[in-house]
Amino acid sequence: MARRSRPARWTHPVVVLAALVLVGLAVLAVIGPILWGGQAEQTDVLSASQGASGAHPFGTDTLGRDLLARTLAGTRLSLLLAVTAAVLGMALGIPLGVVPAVLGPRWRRLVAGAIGAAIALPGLLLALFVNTVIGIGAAGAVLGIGVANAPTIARLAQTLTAGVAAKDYVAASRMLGTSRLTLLRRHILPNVAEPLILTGTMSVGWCLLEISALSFLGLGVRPPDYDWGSLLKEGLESIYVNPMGALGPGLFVIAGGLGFALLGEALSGVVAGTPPPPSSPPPSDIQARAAVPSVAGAPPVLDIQGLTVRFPTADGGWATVVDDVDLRLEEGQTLGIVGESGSGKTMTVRAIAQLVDHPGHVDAARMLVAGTDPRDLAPGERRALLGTRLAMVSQDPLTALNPALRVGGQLAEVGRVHAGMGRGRAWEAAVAQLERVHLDDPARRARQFPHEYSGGMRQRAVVGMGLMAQPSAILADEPTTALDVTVQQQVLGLLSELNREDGTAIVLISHDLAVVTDLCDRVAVMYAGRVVEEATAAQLVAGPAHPYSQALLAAVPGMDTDVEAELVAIPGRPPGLGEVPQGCAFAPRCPLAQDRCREDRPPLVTLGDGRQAACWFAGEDAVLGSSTGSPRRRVSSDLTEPAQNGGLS
Amino acid sequence: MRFSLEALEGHHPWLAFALRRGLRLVVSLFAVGSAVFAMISLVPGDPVRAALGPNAPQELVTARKVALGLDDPLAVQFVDWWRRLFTGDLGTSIASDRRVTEVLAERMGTSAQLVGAAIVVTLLLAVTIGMAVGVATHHGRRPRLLVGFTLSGSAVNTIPSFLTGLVLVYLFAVTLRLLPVAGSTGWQSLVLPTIALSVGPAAGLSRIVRAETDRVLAMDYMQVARSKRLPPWRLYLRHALPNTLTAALTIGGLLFGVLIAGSVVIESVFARTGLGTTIVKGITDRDFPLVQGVLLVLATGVLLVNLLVDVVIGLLDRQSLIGRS
Repeated sequence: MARRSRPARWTHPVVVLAALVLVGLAVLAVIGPILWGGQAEQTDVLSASQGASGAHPFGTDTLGRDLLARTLAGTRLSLLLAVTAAVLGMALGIPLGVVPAVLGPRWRRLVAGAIGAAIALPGLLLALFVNTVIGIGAAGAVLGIGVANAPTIARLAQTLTAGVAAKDYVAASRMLGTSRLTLLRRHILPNVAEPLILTGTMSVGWCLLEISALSFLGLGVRPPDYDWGSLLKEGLESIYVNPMGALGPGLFVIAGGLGFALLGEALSGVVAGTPPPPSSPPPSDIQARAAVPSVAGAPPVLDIQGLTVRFPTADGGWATVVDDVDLRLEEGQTLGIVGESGSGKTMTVRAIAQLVDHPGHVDAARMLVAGTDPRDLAPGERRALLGTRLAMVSQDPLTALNPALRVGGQLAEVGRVHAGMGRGRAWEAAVAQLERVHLDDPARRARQFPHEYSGGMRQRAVVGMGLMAQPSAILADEPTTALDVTVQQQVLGLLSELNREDGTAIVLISHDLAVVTDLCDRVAVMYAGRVVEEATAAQLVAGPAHPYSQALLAAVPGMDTDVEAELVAIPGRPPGLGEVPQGCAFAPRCPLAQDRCREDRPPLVTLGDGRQAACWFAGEDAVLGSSTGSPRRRVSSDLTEPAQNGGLS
Repeated sequence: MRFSLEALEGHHPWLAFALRRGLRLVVSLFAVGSAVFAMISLVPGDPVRAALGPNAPQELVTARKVALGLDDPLAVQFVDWWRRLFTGDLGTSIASDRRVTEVLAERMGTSAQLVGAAIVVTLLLAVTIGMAVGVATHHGRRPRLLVGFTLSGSAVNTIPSFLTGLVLVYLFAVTLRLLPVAGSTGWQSLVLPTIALSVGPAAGLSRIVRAETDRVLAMDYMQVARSKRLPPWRLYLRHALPNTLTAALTIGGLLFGVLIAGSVVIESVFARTGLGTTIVKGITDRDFPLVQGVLLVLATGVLLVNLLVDVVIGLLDRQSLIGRS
């Protein structure tokens, strides 16, 4: 797999440009006063206060001195002051941030508190303070900006040092009695030096801008000396006569500041790590395939055929995470989907709910929700269809509710958006729904924020939220995984109750076969993006047809499991993204695998007892002859009757 | 103390927050007040001589020193300083002989207007642009827009406010002649300084908002909100914004204090008679009581704005009330 080479950091045009600007300014700092120093001091009263011209591109000042020459010659002082201030900031900040790491925790807290307080005050205020004490002039400006820069450097040094000091080898070294100074020199400083020096270098840009500001205020460099800031000050005074007198030196200040800032951005990886956008959507043979006509009568809640989800891979290809899945769910039915993580269960449901994120690509020969294809609808209509027909319950209740909004409001808005309720009615409906999912004191609970709920309460609230629009189906993705066992039972009981009493259809995703067979009428087993077996829960428990289902079932410890015996684990691991082999995806882990399994993919076929399995050895009825043709061909449509019952067909 | 505070958090999070944050404010104010007091003692040589110049008669210098209490022992001066602070007495300006509090009261409004307007504009710009770009570039979409936004944001954030101000002065006073560029009367005089002061910080904050929008949109609760099929405005403004703002303010809250400092420079560009021009003149004149007064007001302003930011964060996210220190 040839990885497309990413643009190297150091050759990115932005980096090159920033580096060129900085090198140019450095050269100018060296040669500027030599080449233009004389011209910069040369007064010429006759051509005083002129605007920009060919002879004086930036114009002249009140004494007739050429402002371009002064700007060029002023580079040295401007940069020198900035570098000095940056060095001063590092000299003050680094010891302040590093040394507390080897002192006691009390010192550490004290220094950290002081740094935090100093950081809360803007640097310019600190600089003005120092400037007042030292007095106006270059020295005061450098000291002021240097001191003002120190807390930021100190904070960074402190954070970096704390990270290193917490490492095991430092602790070990400390235990061995290494002295604090040695600890600092041998272990801590070498590890924090690089980012600190880098930040210190970048702070030259900040110092340049701040010292220019001080000089601009008349608090920094003063006549007869001049830097860019003091030129700006004079430029502003005559901006009506000669705008270039202010804009010219301004350009140099900006160039310096930008040079450092962009170099910093580049080094922090903003421009480097941009992956190329995926080329074009992958070709699909799913769309072209003729859909099997739907059975007449009331449209099923879900009628999906040939669902395929693909994601672009790092090498520019596309990996299939859901491969040609058919799914049919009638009103009031319960369907479980089981499989290991990465088997495509979640993505199947997300694709049906139209929630696959960019850059994922969804194809389906048929995708009907309550008889309507949401892909054909305008955004508003699509929201109305999906919002009133499907409800999602996600994996982790702790993160499923918005921490910034009251739980009641999060429920009520569904009523407001989809049922056109007013504020008051929607709130009442939300409280009623919380009661429906058995929360005690629902009126009070509705006013609370999610962090005031326990995990089980949150998951019940999420279920209640899904029910607000009276959906035809709940798509529950591992709704109990993050909960402890007793709470699991409450949530599963609730789902089962909703199915019994309200006739809400349920799709339950789980990696736990026991949970699924408990709650669901039918179960689909997924492996590597495909359905490998689909049967009633009873059939599956009695004896799975597919070796993978057998392995899953064997891995579930039951009441009769010998507690002394080791738990059964399925050897190997499922194929990763883009690794799905040509033949049966389970073949590498399958005890029954033959050569044929590795070459030809077994299609999903209906067996004698109505169940379906995708295995060459699944039951006696699975002997379908060796000429299978294309492995992608749907056997169910031409070899056997399509399954009439619900679930995956 | 710690235990009781934790117990308090469970039942009265706002009270616990007020206690904790109030304590921090008092400590910070004490530190600022003491530092500002120490300023005069730190000045090398004789501060009053420095203020009045080498030609001032010695009797005048001595008289001023006595009036300022500078010949008392340091401890006495310190106690006296705090006593005077509590009675609202900041002394007399050396240069103008006016009471410092009087000068401050006169100039404070102009500066507060500018900073207030700049805070509002910064927030509006940063949130609008940051969220729009965050939504547009989420899930790695439009990578070029993201790089362009990041780099131009960095560039705009780098340009210091006084240069933005200079360019605005040039454009509006010299070329277009549309808006007043000097003075501090009328709302029109507030427009250009506010823009100059806000643009840079807004660019910086918008980058934070963009990054936080990207992070928030990937959260489970946003997926859940999407699965509820809410219209986009509800999804982004009601569900994403409070969380984005909480995080952005936590990271970028100090920016608003920077606006206060920036106003010092901006007032000089646009010749506004506020605290900024006052302190610059005070430093130039070595008018220490005046500088002390302005520094106190500015630093207190920064501390109060920081506190306000924490309160807003607390309103947006109740959980932040717990354990913020």
